[in-house]
Amino acid sequence: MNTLMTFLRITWKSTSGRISLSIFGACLVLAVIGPWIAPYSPSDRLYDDAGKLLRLSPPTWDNLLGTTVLGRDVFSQMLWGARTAMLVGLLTALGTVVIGLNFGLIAGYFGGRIDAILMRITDILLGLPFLPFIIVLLSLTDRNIWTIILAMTFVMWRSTARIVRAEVMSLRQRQFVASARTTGASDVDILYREIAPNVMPLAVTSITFALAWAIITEASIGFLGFGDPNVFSWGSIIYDAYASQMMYRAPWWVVPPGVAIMVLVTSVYFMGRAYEEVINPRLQERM
Amino acid sequence: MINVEDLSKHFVLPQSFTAAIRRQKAPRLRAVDGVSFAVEPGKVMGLVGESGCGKSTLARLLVGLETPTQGNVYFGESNALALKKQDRRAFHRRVQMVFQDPYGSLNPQQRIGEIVTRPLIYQRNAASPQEKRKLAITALEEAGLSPADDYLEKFPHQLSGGQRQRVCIARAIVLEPELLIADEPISMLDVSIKWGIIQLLKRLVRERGLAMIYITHDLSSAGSICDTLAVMYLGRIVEHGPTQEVIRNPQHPYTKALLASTPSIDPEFRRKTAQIKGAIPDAVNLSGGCRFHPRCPIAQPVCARVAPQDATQREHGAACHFAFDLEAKQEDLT
Repeated sequence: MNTLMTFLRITWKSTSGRISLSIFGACLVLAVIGPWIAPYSPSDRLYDDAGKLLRLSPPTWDNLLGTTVLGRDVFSQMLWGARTAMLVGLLTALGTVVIGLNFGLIAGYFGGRIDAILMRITDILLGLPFLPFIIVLLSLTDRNIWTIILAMTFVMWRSTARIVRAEVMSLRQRQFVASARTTGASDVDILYREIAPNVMPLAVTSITFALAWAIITEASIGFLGFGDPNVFSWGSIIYDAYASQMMYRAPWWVVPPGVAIMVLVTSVYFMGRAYEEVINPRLQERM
Repeated sequence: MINVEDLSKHFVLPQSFTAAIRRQKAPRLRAVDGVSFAVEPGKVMGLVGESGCGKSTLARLLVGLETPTQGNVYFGESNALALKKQDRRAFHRRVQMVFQDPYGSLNPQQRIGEIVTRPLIYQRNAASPQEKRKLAITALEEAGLSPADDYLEKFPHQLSGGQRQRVCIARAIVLEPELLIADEPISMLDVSIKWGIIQLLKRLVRERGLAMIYITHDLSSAGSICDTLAVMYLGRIVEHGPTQEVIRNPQHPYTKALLASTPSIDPEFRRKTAQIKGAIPDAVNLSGGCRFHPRCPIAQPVCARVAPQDATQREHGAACHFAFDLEAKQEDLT
């Protein structure tokens, strides 16, 4: 909680941080309240006054972003998609950091055999091709959103663990660790009360990267048609448009999800960047 | 009373693969090699020597950061090493250390109040958070940071070097240890601040009846705070005695050289040359006999063959064949 407040305070300091935080905040709000403010159900087929199916209607006041080839409201689908993107992104990022942080802390602090075993596990995971692995996993199991989150978390914590481990290896040599030990601190005390607070800035940076990656990957999975069929995601909206071969005739159908993915991911990156610049001032000089 | 008996720390160095196959013994670095001494409550023992002589390793041994290869430490009747095995926390409560670097030894993410209460938390002290806070305030004020309220919420980077070292001292005394080890506590501070820290340490020893081991390479500061002095060279104590005795009447040629190299404030002072030559040899390949003989200005053939007696046996002793009665002995042996 404290770390989150610090993150918001630091990020808010720069202009790019403020803009990206606002965009991200807006997406978050839409993700939460979206389904209530959506004018239609995303899977309802809409008919015009004459009782004809509203096929590929361009944007109007009734359908802000037009309709799909099956007469569904794109705007409502977008709102539901925001919820999916946020849910997948945040949960994956959280899982990634919790696992990666602990792996990195333990491997870096104890070293020796424990480090060797834990790092060989991450090496094996580093050898996995990211997207293909998840697609294979999804085709073997249930294609639902929770499986997607689990599969991504399973692969993504590897890089966080590596980054954290390197930092811990240097931190454990610092004098304050020796001072803590001479006052009787146990290994757990030292790891979680002395060292962990010092790697939190790094962990936060890797949260933002994990968040951005998770959103992109979920969209890719949706676009490739491996997504959860019961959930609307921005990726699967583009997939539907592509599959119906109406991409060029109905730009209102494909442009909004594409732009939404891009804007959200960019804002996440800039959030991380704004935070990192303050934490690591050398980055500013290079710009 | 703290008794150290025959304490040694040898580091086994990495060995080449071929040497390991030939079953050669891995080379050992004798950082501390058979050190004995005693410190009484309310007294300060100075440990002087140049860099690399094993001072800091000795400190780490005493405070339990390293395990000795050999030897033992006693607190009164109880055996510190056995105690450490049984109850690491209780051991650490009795010996505390102030490190050389006041910048690196405070966690940058913690506030001063937190830093000083942490030892109580790590000791699983049963006191309530308010009581712990009070103990921390008392320790900070005793360490000369008063009013403590001004400091509790600050981060280490907001303090000066001298203030940080006072925080380190407060953290060490909050557990009420019996032995305080100060490893070059003033060497990284500005000259103007050094004196204040020395005075603080002196007062703590006097008022709390602490035993203190003051480690330094600076003889002038050792002279002003220590009751006894032990001069270390290559892992051994080469001269030991009451501070004034050692400074006025040094017996070991190494002590003499150290004293002669202490800068004087008198611009007219010209020191005698003919000091020791060369650098400290590494502690891996030690020759026989006296450890100092390769650099000793008065070395004789016997020095390369026979190791001199232990310096800590007498009230003022020196590990040199020619100590106390230089000329007479020199004639005997040649």
